[in-house]
Amino acid sequence: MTYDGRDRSAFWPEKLLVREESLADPLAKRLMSKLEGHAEISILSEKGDPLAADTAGDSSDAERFTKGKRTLLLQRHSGSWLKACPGTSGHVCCNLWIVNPGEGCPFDCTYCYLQSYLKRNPTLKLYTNIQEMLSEIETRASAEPNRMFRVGTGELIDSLVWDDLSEQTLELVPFFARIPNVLLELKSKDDYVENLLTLRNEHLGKTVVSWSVNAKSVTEKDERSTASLEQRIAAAEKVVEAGYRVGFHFDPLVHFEGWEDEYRDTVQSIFSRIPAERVAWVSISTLRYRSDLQDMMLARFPESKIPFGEQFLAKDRKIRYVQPLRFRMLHFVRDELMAIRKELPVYMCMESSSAWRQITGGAPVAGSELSEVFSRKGKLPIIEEGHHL
Amino acid sequence: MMLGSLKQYVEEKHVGGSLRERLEALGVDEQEALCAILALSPSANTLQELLRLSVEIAARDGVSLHSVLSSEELLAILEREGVNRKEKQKLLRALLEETRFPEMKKIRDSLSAHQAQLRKECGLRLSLPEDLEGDSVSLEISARSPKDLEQLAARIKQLAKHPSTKAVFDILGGHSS
Repeated sequence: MTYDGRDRSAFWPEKLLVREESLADPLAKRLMSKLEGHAEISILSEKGDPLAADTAGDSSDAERFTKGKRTLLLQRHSGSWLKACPGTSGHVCCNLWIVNPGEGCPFDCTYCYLQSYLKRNPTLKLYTNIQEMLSEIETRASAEPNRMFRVGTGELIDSLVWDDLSEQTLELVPFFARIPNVLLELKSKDDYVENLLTLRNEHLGKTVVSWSVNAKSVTEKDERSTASLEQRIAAAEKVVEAGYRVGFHFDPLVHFEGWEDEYRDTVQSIFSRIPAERVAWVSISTLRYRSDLQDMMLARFPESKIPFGEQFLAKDRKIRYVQPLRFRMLHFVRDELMAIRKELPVYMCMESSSAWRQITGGAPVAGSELSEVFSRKGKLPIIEEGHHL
Repeated sequence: MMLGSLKQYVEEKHVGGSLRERLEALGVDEQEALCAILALSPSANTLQELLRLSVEIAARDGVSLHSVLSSEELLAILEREGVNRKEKQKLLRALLEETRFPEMKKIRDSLSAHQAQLRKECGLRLSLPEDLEGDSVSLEISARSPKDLEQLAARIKQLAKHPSTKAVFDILGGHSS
């Protein structure tokens, strides 16, 4: 299947595994029907991840992870869905709530933390009992009506990558439009927005569609199978036209020769086509990862330069750039963004309070343009003309 | 196959595990280049670190490991006269670290230069945060009398106004390189 010149079936799964318990769920039926003739479909009765470290023989973590990218498992999720973003100890947190409609991603970014986080259970997963997820969100939001819940689905999965197959946004977007104190953030490196466009009269401003963006050369060399920067911006342009607000996540900022020019170009490319006042938020954050990810990157992407940057192993066992360099990058990109529009809500993800002091002059305060991101009560999103909560 | 001197090193130092695997995987020309370093009799840990840095430089720059291990600068250290083998190991490590992390080296050198300037002109040692993480510096002072403290206060005042102090804060805060 081709969408805007991209062959989407190139990253569709080669194997679709469906647990017996999920067979009757509409999502499983939809995927089985759409992937018939493309993927080898099997029904699975035993529990566990078929590529789990303790069951998949003596292949390496890297080999199993790569294999997992082509296998999609449909199953029901058990346990709770909604949780506060874990953030990082000692860092300023943006109060995002997260739900995971699945885990793993067929895209293959060199720096992706899922390579270490999911390395023991690398099969891609989609949960078929999404109705339960929505019920839990509704119950929680109703119990605290004065609290604003900004909920993201892009922590363990790309929010749009399966949408041509799962059509999940057709359920999520109208649901979030209906509940007064919730706001949905979809986060993606994909450009498939067809379902979102059909909801132009139903989203009511309660869904923000955001894209992870990077320097063009990083996207081209280290974000395999994703939409190009140009395609992501084109997709953002389409959803803005359909009345959505959008977000951009400059994450991870990567240090390389010529980084300033390339990140400036990315900022300019975005804002030459997207009106700044339609941007709900922009986050900036530099490359950082757990030390075990270094081995995965070296094993899976020996051609990538990312593992050989100026990052070092810090005391918390995370690998990151030394602070003066990190702050210089944050300053630069933030300044470029603020030059576009000084009210642009730019925040830093997983940075220390000293970073906030140095880069922005202090922690976010109530009433600032970052209220929607940081305030637990939050303000309600801007509603399009003619749209009502 | 391991060259004789490499084999001898592996046996003498009881090298095992990942370092041994890495050494066994080296090509003949890489082993030959490494043998010049083995002549300094580094510990297994030191050799592992020197090799790691060299491998990363080669991968980053898209050159062979052999060319990193036989660079002019590296050979110059190995051939330097009047320097003992421990010192040469330190110099090798410094050279490889500088090549591997040029930006970090520039930052640290610049900070060290400003610290030295402050020591020289104000007589006080400004300590940087560990791993350069954080935005506060510290100063340790000791006095034997109230008069000493008064003198120190004057020096601290001088330090606060010194351009190098501002430069240190600017570098830590990412305002300049």
